[in-house]
Amino acid sequence: MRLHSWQVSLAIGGLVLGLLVAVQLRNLSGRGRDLVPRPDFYARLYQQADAERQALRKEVSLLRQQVSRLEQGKEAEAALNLELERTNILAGLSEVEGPGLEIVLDSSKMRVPPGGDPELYSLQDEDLLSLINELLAAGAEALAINNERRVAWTEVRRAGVGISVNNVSLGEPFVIRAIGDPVALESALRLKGGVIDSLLAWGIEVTIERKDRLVLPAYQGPTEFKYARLSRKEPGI
Amino acid sequence: MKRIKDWQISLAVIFFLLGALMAVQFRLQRVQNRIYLARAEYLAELYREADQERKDLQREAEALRRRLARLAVEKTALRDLSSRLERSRMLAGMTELVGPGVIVTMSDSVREVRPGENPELYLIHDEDLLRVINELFAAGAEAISINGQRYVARTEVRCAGPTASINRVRVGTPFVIKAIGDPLTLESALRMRGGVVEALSAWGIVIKIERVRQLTVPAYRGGLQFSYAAPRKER
Repeated sequence: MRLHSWQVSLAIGGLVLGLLVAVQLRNLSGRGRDLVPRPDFYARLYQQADAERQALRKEVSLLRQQVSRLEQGKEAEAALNLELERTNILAGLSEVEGPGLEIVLDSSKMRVPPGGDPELYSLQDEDLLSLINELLAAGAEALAINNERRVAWTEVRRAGVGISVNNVSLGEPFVIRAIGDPVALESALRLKGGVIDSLLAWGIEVTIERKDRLVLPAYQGPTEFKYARLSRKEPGI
Repeated sequence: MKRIKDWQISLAVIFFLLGALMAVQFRLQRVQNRIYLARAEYLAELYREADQERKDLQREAEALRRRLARLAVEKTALRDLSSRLERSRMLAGMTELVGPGVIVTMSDSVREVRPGENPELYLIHDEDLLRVINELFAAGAEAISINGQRYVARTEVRCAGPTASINRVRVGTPFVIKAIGDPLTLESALRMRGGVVEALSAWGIVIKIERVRQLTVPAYRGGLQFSYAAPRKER
């Protein structure tokens, strides 16, 4: 059978058309689509990320607020620490150091006249009280007698052969250490007719030494009040 | 010349139209693809930005949460610190205290000074005040004030004539000493035989002791300035 030329043309035209349709269809669906990114895919991703970002922004700003509130507490801590340090010096609850004066008193060489009461010829609590008071008046900031830190309620009282300080019986020699201006403290003690003069008159041995650095112990006694309590004015914890 | 048949023309026209349609469709598709691509790129860029920020924010939130946890631990330390400060303030004399105790009033001697006698003998001296205060502390007094001045570790008592300097503040007679402690113990310590009251009465100094169920001892107002004393540093 003979083929007509028009039949050949028609076949070629149909083939070309079919190919074109096939390519077009491939573009519209299947793998061809993936080659071109689809905007709604990114739109969805973006929406999710954006919503999460908004939530996180709120979260972070809230967290920042809380942190800064607590950071202020940190400043408060530094302030409290400084205040505690200073208060502890006055309360006698911490070891302190500084320049000052060391005074050693020894009455063991006092001569007791025959028949005299030996207790009278030893150092009296009042001598120590006057000496301490004199040092405080001259600006002493912290004091210790032997190893007992002097606090607000410290007693200095003769008890038998010793002298009771913070309810601890101390014996001679008494070493009084005072932190303050060494020159001011010494000159206050050496004042004519002052405490030292009267001690020397009794024959008590006194040595005074200026020190660049003294270390005073912390108060070791009980710190519980049985009768006193905070006034309602005070901000209690 | 061979005659072209009608159906051949129709077929040619149909093919031509079909080809043109396909071409237009193809072009449209390409234009649309370009638009799609541009929009997709724009959205992808937006997404990348949002995603990056989201990741940064997540990291920051995590860091902040960790910081908060640490600060919360320190906050507990803060509470401990303030209770230590409260105790220290109480012991140092920086707070007003209340409690039972005694009120001791000391007045200079009303006795007439005989000619040739030293009038000083009949005045209250530092030592007299110091003795009374010391006796009260020895008897267990927990807090003492003299004419509104709290007696603390650095309090001095200097008498000069009818006035005294206490905490660098001038106070006049009569001296009113308030002490918190067991009222009976405090009173009997002062009234003991050979004690302070007996000794001072000999000079005509008037001492009145009143036991009270509740009295107030003021806070020390001298401040906490230390020029020489400092907490001991570890060396």
